[in-house]
Amino acid sequence: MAVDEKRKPKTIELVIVYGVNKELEVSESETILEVKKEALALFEIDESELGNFVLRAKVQGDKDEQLDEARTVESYKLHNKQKVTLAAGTPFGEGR
Amino acid sequence: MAEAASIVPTPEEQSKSLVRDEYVKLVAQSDFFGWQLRLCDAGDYYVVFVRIEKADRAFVLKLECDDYPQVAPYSTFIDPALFETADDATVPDAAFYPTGQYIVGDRGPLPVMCIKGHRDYYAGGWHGGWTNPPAHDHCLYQHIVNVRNALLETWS
Repeated sequence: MAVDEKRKPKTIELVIVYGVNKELEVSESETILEVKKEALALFEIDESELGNFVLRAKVQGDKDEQLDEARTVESYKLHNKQKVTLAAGTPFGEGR
Repeated sequence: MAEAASIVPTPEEQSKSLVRDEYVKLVAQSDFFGWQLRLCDAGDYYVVFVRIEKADRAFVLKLECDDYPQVAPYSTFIDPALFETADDATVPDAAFYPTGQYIVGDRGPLPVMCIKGHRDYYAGGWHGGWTNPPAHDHCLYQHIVNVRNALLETWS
């Protein structure tokens, strides 16, 4: 029997690294910005601090890189149980 | 029946407990971030040593956490060869600092990292932002993550 199904975005579980690891279920269609908001909530960090943080992950090889917030989980090919770091976005001081 | 005497931790014990909490987070992420750690008990406070390697060079960060989190940790670099034996008396050395943007050479005898989360960053009103308790992006754990990322991507 043929079943007419609309393709639902697949969900995966990312491991958010921020001192301790916490798992976060996300849809592959979510943007990195949306994931970051959920990650902050996971660690009870107020959303007003959104601009102070970025997400980083090992996308190619062994080196982790900052993820572009406009892109989606799917576009980075983030996979189930992949570690994603919640890191300070602007660690350097200004004026130097 | 006599009441059990309540033991009130000293400010130093409270400070060391908070540093231990941060250290536990660092240990938990050792494999992921690829650093080596040592926690040295200096009596009233802890000193944390972090060894971070990049392709051509190793760095050892020394963090003196006296009065943390009332005061930000004093964060310097030492000779990486001393990592296994270093203690609170180990002297930082300008020869083992990274170089590059945001390493400032005119603020004292040692270079200073212009990066959040350590004492010299806030000294003399250079930058604001240190609070007790520290904000998430200024805490000890995050400072070490920030330095690690800068060593791998920005400094040489």
